[in-house]
Amino acid sequence: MPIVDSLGFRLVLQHFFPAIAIESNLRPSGQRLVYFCSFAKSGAPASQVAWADWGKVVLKISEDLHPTVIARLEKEREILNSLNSTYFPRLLDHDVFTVDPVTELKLPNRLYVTLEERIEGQPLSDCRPRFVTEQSVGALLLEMVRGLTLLWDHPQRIIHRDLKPDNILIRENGHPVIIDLGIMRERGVAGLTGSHWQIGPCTPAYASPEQLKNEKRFITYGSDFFALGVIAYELLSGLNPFVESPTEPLEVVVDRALRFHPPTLHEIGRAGPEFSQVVQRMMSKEPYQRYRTVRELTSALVSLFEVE
Amino acid sequence: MSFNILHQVGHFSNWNIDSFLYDKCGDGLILSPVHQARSAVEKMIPAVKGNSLFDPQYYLPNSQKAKLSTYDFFPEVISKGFSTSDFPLVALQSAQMCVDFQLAQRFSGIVIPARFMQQLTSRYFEKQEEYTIVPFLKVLSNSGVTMPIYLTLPLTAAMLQDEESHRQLLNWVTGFPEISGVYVLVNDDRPSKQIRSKEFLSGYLDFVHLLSGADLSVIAGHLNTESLLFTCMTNVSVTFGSFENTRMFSMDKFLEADEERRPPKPRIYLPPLMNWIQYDQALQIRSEAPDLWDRIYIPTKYADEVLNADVDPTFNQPGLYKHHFMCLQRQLRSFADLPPTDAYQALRSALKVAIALYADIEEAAFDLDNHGSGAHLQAWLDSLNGFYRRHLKA
Repeated sequence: MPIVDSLGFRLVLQHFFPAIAIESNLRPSGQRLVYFCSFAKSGAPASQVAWADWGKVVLKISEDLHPTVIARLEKEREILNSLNSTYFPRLLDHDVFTVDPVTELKLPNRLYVTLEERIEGQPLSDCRPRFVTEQSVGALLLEMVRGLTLLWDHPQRIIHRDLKPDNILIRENGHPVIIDLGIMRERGVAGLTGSHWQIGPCTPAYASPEQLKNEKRFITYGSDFFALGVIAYELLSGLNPFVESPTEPLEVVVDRALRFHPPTLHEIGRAGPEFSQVVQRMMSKEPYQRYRTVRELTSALVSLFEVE
Repeated sequence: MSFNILHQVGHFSNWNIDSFLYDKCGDGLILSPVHQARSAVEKMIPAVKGNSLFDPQYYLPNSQKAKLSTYDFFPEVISKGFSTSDFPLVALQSAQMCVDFQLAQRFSGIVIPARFMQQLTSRYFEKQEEYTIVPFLKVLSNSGVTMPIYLTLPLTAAMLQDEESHRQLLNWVTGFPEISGVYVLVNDDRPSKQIRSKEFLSGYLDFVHLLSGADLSVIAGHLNTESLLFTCMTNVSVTFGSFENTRMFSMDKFLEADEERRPPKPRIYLPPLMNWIQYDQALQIRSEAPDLWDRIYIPTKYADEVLNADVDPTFNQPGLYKHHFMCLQRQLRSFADLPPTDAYQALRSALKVAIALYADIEEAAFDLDNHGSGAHLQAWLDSLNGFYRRHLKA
C-alpha cells in the first residue's frame, strides 16, 4: 500500500524527530516518501542534537517492508557507506519505527527511515542541455561507469537496477552522484522486491529486457549497462528510444523496450560511428550481446573520450 | 586472438605427451583424472603441466572409477558417498582443495568443474552455481588468482539446437565476469562416429562463435574431426584425442564399463576425406588403387611405419593415433592461419574435394563401412555455408 504525505503523517514524523524542519516533499506518494529537510539543535533530543550539523538532508520513508528485507537493506546501506565515495550520497542514519510515539500503540505498518546527505546539484533530467555533445555524454558515461564500478566490483556484486536521469544528480562541477538505490540487488541473491511480478522492479523506459521479463538469473551489471546506454541515447537524440509520449500506457513502453531496435545514433546524425556502436552494444536486447566485463566497457569509453 | 589445439587426454596419456613434446603436436593438453591417477599427474614434467589444463571431471559426481578416487576433492571421495542434498555442505571444501591442487601443479589456467545434466531447466543453472561455480569463484577470489579461469559447460546436442536454450546459456555464462573462458563439451548420443546432423553442427558453431564474440576464450572439448569447421573462428581452442571417448563426450567413461575390454577396430585418419576409415579397407585401396590412395593418404613417419609393418596394428599401439595428431594439426593450421573468411573458402573447397574423393572411391568399387563413409560431409558443408551467411558474410 503506498504511503501518502499528509498533515497527520508529518505530525507523526515530528514526534520521531522533534527538531525536524521539512522543506519540501519530493514524492507525494508511492512506495516511499522523500523529503528535503534539516534539523535544529533546539528542541532536539540528546541523541539528535548533533544532526543539526548535517545541514540539509534527505529523509526517505518506506512502509511495510518485511523484516528480512529491512535487514538486507540495512546491510546494503552499510556497504554503500563503506564505499565512502563522492559518487554516492552518504547515509547519515537509519531506523525502524514500529510504535507510535504519542499513543504508544503499534503502528499499522512499520516505517523504515533513512537520512541521507543532500547533494547540491540538479537531477540530470533537469540539466540535459549540459549534455548534448558526444564528448560531454561520453565523459559523463565514463564517470558513471567509474562510480558504479564501486558497486559492481564490490564482493557482493551490487546492481543498481534503476539508473535514469532522475536518479543521477549533477554537481555544480559537473560530477555525477548516483542516488536512489532502493531496488539495488546482489547478483545471485533472491530478490528483495518480490518475485511474483511479471515485470521486475524497474523504470520501464530505462530497464533492460531481462528486468522487464523478470529474468532474475540474467540480471547483472549488464542490466545497468543497458540503462546507461539508454540514458546516453536519450541525451544525444533528445528522446527516450522507447517512449513516444509521456501519456502512453506502460505496456506499450515495455513492449517497445523488448522488441524495438531504435536507429543508431550515427544513423540519426547524433554521434560518430564509434560512440554510436558503443551505445548500441550497451543497449543490446540480450545481455550476452553487451559488454561482458566492466573492464571491456571502460576501455571502449576511455579509448574514445580520455586522452592518456 | 588465437586458435589453439589441445590434446584431450585419455587412455595412454604418454602418447599425447610424446606427441606434444617430440612431434610438437598441439599447444598443450587437457588432463583427465578418470584416466590419470593423481600421482601420475603430479609426476608430469613442468614443460607439460605448464601448457596444460586439468579438467576435474565432476560430470558424474558419484563415479566409482578408481583413478578418480585418487583425488581427495572429487565429490564421491570428499563426501564419502556423494549425495545431491549433502554435497553443498562440502562444496566449498572441495573447491578449495581442487583449486589448491590446480595451483600447486602450475597448470596454465584453472578449470571450474560442472556436473553433467541432461535437461536445461532452471535447476541446471541453480545446481551448477551451488555445486561448483559459486564455491570455486569464492575460493579463487580469496586466492587472488590472476591466471585464466575456465568454466566447464557440459551440454547436450538438444540444447544447442534450441534457440531459447542458446539464449539462456549465453546470458548465464556471460554473467560471470570472473571467468576468462569456457570449456564446452557436448553429449550427442548419435549412432555414427561423425556428426551428421546439420542442425546440431550449426547450433554448435553458432554457440561457440557467440561465446567467443562475448570476449570469452572457448575450448571446444572432445571434438572429432569436426574441429576443422571451427577454424573459421578466432579465440577458440579445439581438441584432438586418441581413443573415441576423447573425441565424443559421453558419461560412459565415468561408469565402470571400460572400452579397453572391447577394443575398437583400427582406423586410419585420411585428411583429404576428413574422416577415419577402417584400416583393412585402407589397405585394400592402397594395394588395389594406388593412384586413388595417393590422393587420400598424407604420409607421416608413424603411418608409414604401420603400413609397412608385417602385422596389423592393434588398439594399444600409438602409431595411427600419432599419425592422426600430426595430420590433423597440419590440416587445422592450414585453415586457422587464414583470416576467417579465407578459412571458410578454403574449408568449403576442401569439403567439396572430400565429397568428390568419396565419389571416386565408390566409383572404384570400394564400399566403405558406415562410419568411414562420407555421409557426414554434406551436413558439414551446409553447416559451414550457413555459418558463413550468418556470421562472416559482409
